[in-house]
Amino acid sequence: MKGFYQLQKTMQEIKIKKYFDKKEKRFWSGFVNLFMEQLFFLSACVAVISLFLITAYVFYNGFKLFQFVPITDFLFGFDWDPVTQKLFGVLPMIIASCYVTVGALIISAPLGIACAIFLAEIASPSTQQVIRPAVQLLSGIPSVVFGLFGLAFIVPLIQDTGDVAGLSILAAIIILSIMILPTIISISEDAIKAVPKELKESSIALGTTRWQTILGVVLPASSSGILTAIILSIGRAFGEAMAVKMVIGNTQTMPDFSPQTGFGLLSLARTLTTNIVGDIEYAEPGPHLSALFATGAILFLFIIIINATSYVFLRRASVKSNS
Amino acid sequence: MKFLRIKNIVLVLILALFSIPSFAEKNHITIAGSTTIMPVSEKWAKAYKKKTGIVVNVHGGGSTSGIKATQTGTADIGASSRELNYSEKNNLKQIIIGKDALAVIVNKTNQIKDLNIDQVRGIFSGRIKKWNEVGGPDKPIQIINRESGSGTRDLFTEVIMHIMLIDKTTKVVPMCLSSIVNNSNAEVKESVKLIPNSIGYISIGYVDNTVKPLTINSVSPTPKNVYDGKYSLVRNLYYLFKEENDKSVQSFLAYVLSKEGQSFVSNEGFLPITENNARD
Repeated sequence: MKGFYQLQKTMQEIKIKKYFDKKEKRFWSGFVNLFMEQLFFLSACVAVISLFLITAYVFYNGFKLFQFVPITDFLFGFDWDPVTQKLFGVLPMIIASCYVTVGALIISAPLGIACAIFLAEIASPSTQQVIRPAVQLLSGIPSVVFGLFGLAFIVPLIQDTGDVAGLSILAAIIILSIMILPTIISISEDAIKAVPKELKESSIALGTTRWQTILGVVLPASSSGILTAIILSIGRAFGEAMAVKMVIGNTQTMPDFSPQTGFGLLSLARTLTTNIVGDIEYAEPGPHLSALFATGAILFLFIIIINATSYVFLRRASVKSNS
Repeated sequence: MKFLRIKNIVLVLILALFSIPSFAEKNHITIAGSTTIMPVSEKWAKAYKKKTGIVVNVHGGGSTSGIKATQTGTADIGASSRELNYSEKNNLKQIIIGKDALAVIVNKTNQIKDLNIDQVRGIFSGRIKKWNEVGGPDKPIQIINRESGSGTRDLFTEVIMHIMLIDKTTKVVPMCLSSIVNNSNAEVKESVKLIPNSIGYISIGYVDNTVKPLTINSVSPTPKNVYDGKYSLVRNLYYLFKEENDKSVQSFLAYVLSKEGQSFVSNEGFLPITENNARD
């Protein structure tokens, strides 16, 4: 049966191609077709070439740093003082970037998935009409506004807990979790809605409760979509510069992870992104500027690793579900 | 096949047309650099536009950023609150447009009124960690620092962070790296306003009654103490420009140095080049 259907498809394709070939023999329509094809091809090329150029430029200028500074000093150094003491350590920034990203995920992933389940499975249409636009609006707010909100509202709240500056990793985590929440909610909701009705109906036919259906059938079936949502939001949280810079303090050394500071939650830090934003205006060409490019290269690498890992996971999940 | 060749040529020509850049005419002056000088630059820009109609755009970015911008031609005039180093002096000309003093400020809730230079150095190097070591409450000190390219930071380092060793050579004590780094005078002021146990340094042109300036060795940062030479955190403010004799730039600079221009300097809380201008 499959073979016959495919044969029919191929015959249709050949007919369509023959029709268009005849059309193209006429000059003007042929020219227009060629022009449009080339234009669209050019647009696709622009995207690919831009990615290649940016990556190559960042990595090339980043590698220039290692003429001046050994790579171990860069990756594992504890202090960043490129102008006065010629120290180029980014380990505190890598740790801070990971800390705020993981922290934001711990808050937003459960909340976002729960909200997505609520929107897709439980909410009445009138409730949906209120919540969904609110979520979409939240995702449209510019990063600077989040930073402003953090500085004006979250930081004083944290100051009230003790003798702390208020600017802290915790403030960055709170702001980032609000920022990535809409992404998780929308994409997870799409994934949950995409679960075929038959699956849910068969589960209910077996006598399960709604909650058992959601937990045992809907969530596993939409797990690849939810994973995509989480990966995308990791990317956004890791790469956020402006909002984080306004609330995290931008120090130059390893943050204090002792229990007094809530294991680092209340201490000031600097992330990879805020490093670039904070230093770029005055960095002189030479080791300092190359170090900023190298910081960008590390950001690239993290994003590539995260995306690659997610791709591997998703392929495994789809292979499993297909077999 | 002949058809295709003509098509391709025409296609390439049409696409090439879209890549011709547009040229815009330049009839304005750009000033970039020190955030200290920005308020005065903006006042001059406004008054100059009223007088002659020429638009002057003012940008921040810090002294080093302004010097770089002037060297590359991105800016017509660079504003610097620090001395040019040897390599920068090469192709830039500088004029003094005013004087500035730095005030060490603390949050309004802080009881401290005075510190000596040793104590300030101890605090900013991280040796003194709590306010009770200098006569305040038992709270940790939160340092607010400027970025490394800041002219303001350079002056502070030069006056405060140098110590003379036994063999008469000087050594620079490095600044504490766990300080908050802000990128302008305005940001430092806001941070000190926001954080109760903080200490920072800003140009006196930015000091107002929302932050508390300290006296250094019992000398307060007033214009009289600056002209009398008693206050040590003092520096010249510069405008830099390239060798090219741009008439519009030169006439703007002439306005800046005039009596009317210098009155803006004192209005913003800085000090005119000479005390006479200040008195008039």
